[in-house]
Parts: sequence; C-alpha cells; structure tokens
Amino acid sequence: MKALVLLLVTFGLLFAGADRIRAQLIEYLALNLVDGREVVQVYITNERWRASVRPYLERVELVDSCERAQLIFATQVEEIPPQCRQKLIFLTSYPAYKRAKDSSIGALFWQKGRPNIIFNTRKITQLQIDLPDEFKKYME
Amino acid sequence: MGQDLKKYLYFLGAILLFILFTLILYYKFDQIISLTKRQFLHLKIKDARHSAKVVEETMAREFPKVKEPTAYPKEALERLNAFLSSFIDEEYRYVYIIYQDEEKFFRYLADGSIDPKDRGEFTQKFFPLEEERWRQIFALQKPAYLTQGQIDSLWITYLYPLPLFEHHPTFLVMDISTKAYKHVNTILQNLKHYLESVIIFFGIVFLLILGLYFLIYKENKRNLIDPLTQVYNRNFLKKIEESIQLDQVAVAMIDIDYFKRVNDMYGHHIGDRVLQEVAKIIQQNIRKEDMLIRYGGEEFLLIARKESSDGVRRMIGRIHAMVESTPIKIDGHTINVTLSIGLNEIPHIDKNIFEAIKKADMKLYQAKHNGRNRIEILAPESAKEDPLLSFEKITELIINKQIEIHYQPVYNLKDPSKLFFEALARLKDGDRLIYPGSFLPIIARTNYYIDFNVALLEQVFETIERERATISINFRKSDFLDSKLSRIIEEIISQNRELAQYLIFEILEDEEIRGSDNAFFERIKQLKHYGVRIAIDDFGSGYANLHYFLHISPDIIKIDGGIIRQLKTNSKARAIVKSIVIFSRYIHASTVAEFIEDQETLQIIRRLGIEYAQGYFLAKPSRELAKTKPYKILQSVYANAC
Repeated sequence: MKALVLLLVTFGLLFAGADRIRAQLIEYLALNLVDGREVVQVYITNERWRASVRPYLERVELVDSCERAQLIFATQVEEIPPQCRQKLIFLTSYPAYKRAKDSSIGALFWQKGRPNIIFNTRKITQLQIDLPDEFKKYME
Repeated sequence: MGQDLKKYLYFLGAILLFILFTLILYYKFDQIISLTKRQFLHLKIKDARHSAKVVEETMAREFPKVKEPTAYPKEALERLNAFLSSFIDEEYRYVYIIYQDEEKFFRYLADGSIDPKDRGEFTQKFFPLEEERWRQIFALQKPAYLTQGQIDSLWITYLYPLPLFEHHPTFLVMDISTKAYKHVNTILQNLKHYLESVIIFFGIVFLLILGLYFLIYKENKRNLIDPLTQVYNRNFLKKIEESIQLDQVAVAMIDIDYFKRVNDMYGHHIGDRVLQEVAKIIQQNIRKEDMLIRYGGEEFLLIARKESSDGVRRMIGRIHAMVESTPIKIDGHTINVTLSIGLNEIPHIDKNIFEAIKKADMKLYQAKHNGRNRIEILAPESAKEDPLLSFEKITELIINKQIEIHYQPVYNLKDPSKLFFEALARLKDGDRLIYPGSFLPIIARTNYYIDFNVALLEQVFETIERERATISINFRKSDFLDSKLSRIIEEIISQNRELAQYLIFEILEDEEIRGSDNAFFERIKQLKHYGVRIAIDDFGSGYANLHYFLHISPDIIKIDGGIIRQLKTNSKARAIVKSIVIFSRYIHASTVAEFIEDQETLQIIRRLGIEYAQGYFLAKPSRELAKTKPYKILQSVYANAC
C-alpha cells in the first residue's frame, strides 16, 4: 500500500512560479477526483497556501468551512474537524501522510524544491475512485 | 568656423568614440556574462565531481556491500544519511543517492537533506523533472549535469554513478544552489549596470557639451553674420585676417549704385530687401571657399580664392552681369540695380588684408568716379604701369609735407574782380603727382588723413595771407563729425581769424546729410561765425538734399557738373539749372557752374543767370594763382552782362 506518488508536472506549469504550480495542481486534482462538477469546493487548512493559490484558481472555489468542501487539503489530519474526516483528504506534508495513511487519499507536498503527489492505492480503491491513466504510475 | 569651435568638435568626437566603445562593450557584455557563467559552471562541475569521488571512495571503504538496495542495513543507512549531510552547505543544497528499481522507477537509497520536509525516505519514489533525461543518464552510467532553470533556488543537478548494486543503476545526486551563481551573476550584472551608468553619464556629458557647442555656435554666428543679408560681417574679417593667404586670394569691393535712391524712392524696408536680393545673387555666383562680407551699408567685400589667372575676374564679371540683368521684384515693384566693383587681383604685394582692401576700395572709387556700373581692376599688368601707392609711401609723403596745391579759378561772370580759387591737393612723389582718389581711401580713418587736411589748410592760409585771395577747400561731412579733425580745423581758423573771410569750405555731396546731424550743423554754424563761407559742392548729385537749407545757409551752390554738361542738349537740364538759380536767389546764395568746357555752355549758363563759372575752358588748375584772366573768353560774357 502506501502509495507514494510523485507527480512530475512538465507541461508549462514548470515555468510558472511555485504558487501558480500549486494552484494548478490543486485544481487538476480536484477536477479529476470529484466527478461531474463544473466548480469544485475545496477547503485548505493552511492559511498561507490558501492565500497564495487563490488568485490562480479558476474552477475551484475555496470555502471557509470543511463541511461545504468536496476536497480537503490539510497539513495534518488533526486540523480537520471530525465531522469532515470522512471526506476526500489530501495531506500537504510527507511525514503527516505517513502518520495518517488510512485517513487520506494522498499527499501533495514540496520536496527539494520539486512538487510531489502521492495517491494512496488502498484508499482510492476503497472509495472506488477512478483515477485517470496518467495518475496511475503515482499510486502505490 | 573658429578654432575654439573646432576644439569643441574634437572633444565631442572623442567623447562619442568613448561612448561607442562603451556601447559595444555593453552589447558584448551579455556574451562576456555568458562566457563567465560557462566557466563558472565548469568550475562547479569539477568541484562536484571531486566531492562525488570522495563519496564513492568512502562508500567503497566504509559502507557494506549488498546485492539489493532493499537489503541495505538500517544502521548503515543512518550513517550514510549523516555522511551525505556533511556535504550540505550553502552551495550543496541537497545530496542524496537514487537507484532504479526493477520497474525503472527512481527511488531514494539515502538522503543527506537536513530539513525533514526535504528528506526523502529510504525506497521513497523520486520523480525528477526531466524524467526522460534521467533515464538516459542512468542507462549510460556516466557523470552528467542538468541545469535547473525551473526549480527555485537550484542551479545545477550533478549526477555521478555509484557502482553499488549489480542490477540497479545508482547515482549520487547533488543539487547545487544558485547562491554562488547568483553571487557571480550579481557581480557581472553590477558591472553591466556600471557600464550603463558610464554610458548614461557620458551621454549626458556629450549632450551638455553638444548643447554648449550649439550655444557657442549660435553666438559666434550672431557675432559674425550680418542679420539682414546673412553674409559675414566685419567681425568675421577681424577673425580671419591672420589666416588669409594673400597670394591665394583676390579682393573685391562691391557697391550698389545709387542705393540711396532706392531707399528714398521705396523706403528702407524695400532697400533692405534689395540688399538681401543682391547679397543672394552674389552668393549664388561665388564658390564655397569664397568669403562674402557686408563691409558697409550697401558695400560688400568679396575675398575670392584665386584658382586661375582670370577665374576671379570671370566670376566678378558674372556677378556684375547677373545683378544688372536681374530685376528685383519686391511688393509689386520692379527694381533694377547695378554694381560698381573694385577688384584687387594682386593683394600678395600688400602687407596685410586691410591694405589690399583699401586698394580694392580705391578701384571701387575709380569705378564710381568713371560713371558707376563698371568694374575697375588692379591687375598685375596695370600695377606695373600705374602702381598703387603703399600705405607707408603715402604716409611718408604726408609726414614730409609733400603736398602740392593746384588752384583752379572760379570766375564771376559779372564782375571780373570777384573771383575765387578752388584748392586741389596732390601728393608729390618726385616728378609724379598723386591725385586724391589714389591716396585718400588708403589713409581714410587714420591720423594721416587728419595730418593731410591740416597741412592742406595751413598751406591754403599761407597762400591767402600772401595773396589775399579767396580760396575754397573740399571737405566731407564726416570730417566735421570727426571731433579731432574739426577741433584742429577750428583752432587753425581761430589762429587766422582775420583771414577766415577768404576761406570757403566746399562740402562734398558724397555723404548723406540728415536732419538729425546736429553736430555737423553746429560746427558749420561755428565756422560761419568766424566768417568762413560754405559752398555745397556737386549740388544735384549724390546725397544732395534740402536739409542743408533748413539748418544752415550756404553761401554758394556749386551745381553738379553732370547737369552742366547736358545744358547744350537737354532742355530739362536747363530747366533744373534755372530752378536752382531762382532758388539760390531766394536763399541769397551764389551759384557756380563747374565743368565749363566750351563757349556755348558758358553762354548758356550766363543766360540762365549763374554767377560763377569754373572749368578747363576757362582755366586749368595751376600751382600759382592765375594772375592773368581769360579776358578774351570772358569778354563776350562781360559785354553781354553790361
């Protein structure tokens, strides 16, 4: 299990700033993990992340309450209110992901200046999420 | 252009060259930066390779050898992480070991990263940005480097193969930060900015000097260019006098004939336009290297470069013909003007340009005297026949009082006892007599001119004292406006107060008399106070006008010889003379007819009522006062008078 996936984003995103890349990755993940929505509501616990990605989001609405969100990005599971812990959760640090493998469907974090994405295979399967083919190599 | 301006131009040129050189350096600087960066990159790669070899050797010596990465002992991994951490500094941001698994995924074996967020865990997948390139490098198993333009704060990623596992290619990876690169880059960019500052600074200096140059140029131009005609003024002559090579130039004085009439007839506004047009025509007919100077009111000086023996002469002829044949059309008026020109073709015999100009001026004087609208040339051949005197020669004759006075009698047509003599001065150079037209222009506006007139007046007084005869002397208006000369004249008259009644001053008509010439009128009145009589010479020609009669009362009016000569054939001339005679009676002035050259003219002037006659027909000028009178000639006149 314990999928650890690094997503290499090569198309164009690499030439933009880190905040723009982060925003585009969030939007890319949200639109592919949450089906059938024109706009996906996302809750981000980290205020700095929230402020830095907001200007670049187009089809993602940042919400102030986790209850309204379809996808949650949290530094660690403990930051998420209990009533929302069953939702789709992405953790934003590798150590936090390792500590709470059962609670999150993956992680999006920066390591050595490079963006990384991990998909938790067990959780993805459990939730019957159909990942696009290009994501599959990042599952474990 | 002045030497000062040339120096400015040289200075400007030097600055411009410097700016151009700096600009080239500036635009080449990107190449210099690129080259320097490349050199620096090679240095860093070399340094990284050295560190990688240390890692390789240490691992071979101090770390266990296992077949599979997954079999690496935990204790050895911790030591390996710590060992790799020892390489971390400001330049080596991340040092880690990556191997390829069976599925060709990249995974961490060890990571020396100090920050836990950046540290990859054992067997954690690693996805490089340029994945395909990494695969190639891992396949080749050779050291390589990648430039990390995409990752913030990373400059180069250096990969060095480690022979740890038989079936799993393994590389030591070193991420080198941009810190050192940025440091070098900052130095180079600062240098580039310094170059920019130098260019801007010298650009501003250049513009300031250029501005200064134009200000000086404009000021120079304003000082040297006549604003009306846009040709040089006399200041220019002073500026270039020393640089003129007299053996390479010819000098011409050009004067517009009867220009006063244009001013009088059409006004000064039109007169100015005529001057402009004439200047334009002259300029169109001279060459670039010739210099045209407005020398006086309607007088131009041309300093022309001599290229062939008759080149300048042809050019002067062309100017003369062009002005004569070009009607000047201004405000609906068509004005035809002609030029009198004096050309000095041999200025090289003169000591300086001013002496050469005086000789050209003398030739101009001759041209005017010979009827105007003509060119008089001082050519090498004519100079041999009739050499013009040098300034030194004339002054020597004046200092030695080599002045000879010839007296021409002026006869009263009614009373033979009432005659007077016109004093005509010549300079005596051995047997040769020099006439005023040949030397007065040369000494004009010098103290020798005053000395000459003083000597003349003193000699005349000596004759008056000896002969008790009435004698007239020619003076010009400007002589009385010269405070020094007029003061000396008054002193001499004052010293000969009892003889002043025998003296007549003939005021020449070659200078304009204006109503505002108060100083002139005052001095004439002062002289009349001593008993000196005043005659107006050549009345009816030149600048003769009626202002005289408003301010002074002339005793004698000498009618212009040009009119007298036409009396036999021109009824209008007779009418004019008759009118002058009637006018003279009204103002109680006597009339004199000059240029009496035959009996018929003598009879006509008698019939017209003229009182005095003068001319070669009656008597030529002679050194002695004419003791015998031409009774035979005058007999019929006197008989008729009786």
